[in-house]
Amino acid sequence: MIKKLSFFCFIAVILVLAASIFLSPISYTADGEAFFSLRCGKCHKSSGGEAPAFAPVKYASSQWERFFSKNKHERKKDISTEVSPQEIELIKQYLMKHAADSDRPIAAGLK
Amino acid sequence: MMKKTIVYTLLILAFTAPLTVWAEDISIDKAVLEKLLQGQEDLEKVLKRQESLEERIRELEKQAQEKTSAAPAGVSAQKEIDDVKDEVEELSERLDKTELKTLLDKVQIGGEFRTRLDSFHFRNAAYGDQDKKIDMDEFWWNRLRLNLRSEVTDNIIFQGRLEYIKSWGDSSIGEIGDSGSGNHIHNINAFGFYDTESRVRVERAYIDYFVPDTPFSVTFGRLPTADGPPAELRNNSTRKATWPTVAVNENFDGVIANLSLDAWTNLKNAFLRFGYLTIRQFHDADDEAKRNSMRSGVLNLETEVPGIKDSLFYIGYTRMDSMFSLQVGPAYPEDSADVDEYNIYLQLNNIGDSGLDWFGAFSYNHIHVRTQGTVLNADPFYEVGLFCDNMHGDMGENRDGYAFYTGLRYKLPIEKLKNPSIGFEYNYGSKFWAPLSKHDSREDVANKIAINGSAWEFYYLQPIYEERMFCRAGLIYFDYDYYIPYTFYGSPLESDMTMFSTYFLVDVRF
Repeated sequence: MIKKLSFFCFIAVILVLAASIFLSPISYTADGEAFFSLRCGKCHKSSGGEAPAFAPVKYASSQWERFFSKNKHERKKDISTEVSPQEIELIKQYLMKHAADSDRPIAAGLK
Repeated sequence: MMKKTIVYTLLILAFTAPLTVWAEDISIDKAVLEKLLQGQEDLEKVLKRQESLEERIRELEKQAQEKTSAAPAGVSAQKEIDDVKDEVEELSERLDKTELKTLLDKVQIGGEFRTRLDSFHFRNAAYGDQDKKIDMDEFWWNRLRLNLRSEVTDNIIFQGRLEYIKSWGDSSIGEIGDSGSGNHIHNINAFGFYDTESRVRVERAYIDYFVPDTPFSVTFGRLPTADGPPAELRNNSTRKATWPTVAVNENFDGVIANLSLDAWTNLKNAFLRFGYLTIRQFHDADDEAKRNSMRSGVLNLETEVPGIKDSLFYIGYTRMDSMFSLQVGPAYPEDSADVDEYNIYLQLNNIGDSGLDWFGAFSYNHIHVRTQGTVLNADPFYEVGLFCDNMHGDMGENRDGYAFYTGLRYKLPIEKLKNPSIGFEYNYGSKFWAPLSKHDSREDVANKIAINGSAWEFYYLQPIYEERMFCRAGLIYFDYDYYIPYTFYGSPLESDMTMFSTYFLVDVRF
């Protein structure tokens, strides 16, 4: 009985969740990583770039917060005409989420 | 003459009268002119005075400018420079202390702390007693993990994890874990994970060496081989081990060679790995000791599925070589069997930005048993091997087992509740399913992955403080078709044992 009930619940949950993919209008994460690669990567390159390449682990999340709240990038270069405020916000979220003090993935051979 | 005189007089009068009037006019203009001349004089005086004042102002301005541009500015700027110097000096002093501390603090330490409450109910839990019930309404335990990381150089990274798992108080699971109790639970290695003493063990400690300017790296030590995908879904974390749990889910010592394929292919997060693991090592203490050391090899390819962000595709082959013999001596085989295992695993995270994560795995293992088992010193004497024994007349047969494992997690779009998640998992293991996760169950009362039967789990995950704290409540139902001693020896026997468990846990990360 319990087995059948569990199986029924399993199928029901799968159907509901599968339907929710098509019905849910909510987008949880816009692609901050893509904007990071596209916008930041335009100048920040490992070789031959206008500025050196960097990764989110360069700073802890609180340091990234301060970097953006004080608009520190403006001291080096004003990017307000090249990157929109929405894109900057997404990039900030991405950098903070993958900052040095974030919950980093672990596997053999992963830095 | 007189007439002429009168005419001349009239003429003179005629000409002089207007002149008199004109003369009067002239006298008026003259007054005005005099006034004007007086005003002109006044104006000139004013102008002169103005010029004088302007000159004076210019002099004063010049003096003021000289004063402001010379001495006071110099004093102000010097003071400012001195202030900045003092501040820099103070900062430098503080920075030196911080730098010194950073240089000495070579190991970063993070942690996880968990408190968990289990309530479980076993049914049909004994060999000869189908009605055997074991209930425990409250079983509390803690788990502390200290995560260590040290970047020795850019190419050498040490990582470790110290772990302490302990039941609350001086508790004992009594007959549940007692091998002499005659119940099945001992044989499924339930509660194999926790300790009644406050001991800390090294769960993992390894070095990653990245060969400079190449895609090669080598990992060696006590490896990150437990709690792999998809454990991170219900633990609300990121990936924490090298291989999916269905392939390997135990702590192993060994070495792994990693080849990153990203630079050579269009794949992302792609690795080809070969792992050499040691399960048990024996040495010949005397001439009669003949047991081979037990080794394992894992060859796998993993990658993010092209076009699907945050996905993981894994395909791997695992070999457990020279399964040891229970008894030692010239009459016994040096090893009992070899096992080949094949795994395929796919995980898709946040499908279409919907908040839905899904994973599915299929595994197959083939067991090459030896024709000779181990004679146990029991009464009556009988011979057992891997998944076989002569009492049941099944010595020397090769075995095939399989398992599948699937599940999903959905992040609910309720921002007021911080987007909690619900999840569902199901896995099945056949009669001869024997994974490399037989011993460890570091999450649940019993080992889901290694079950020879079915296991169902439903959970609700509630974030409390961002990614630092969450709680989870869940239901697990185990339905055993067979029980197999965790040493793999002997024939799997049919079982009707079930276990229904509810749990609640709180996790804090720091």
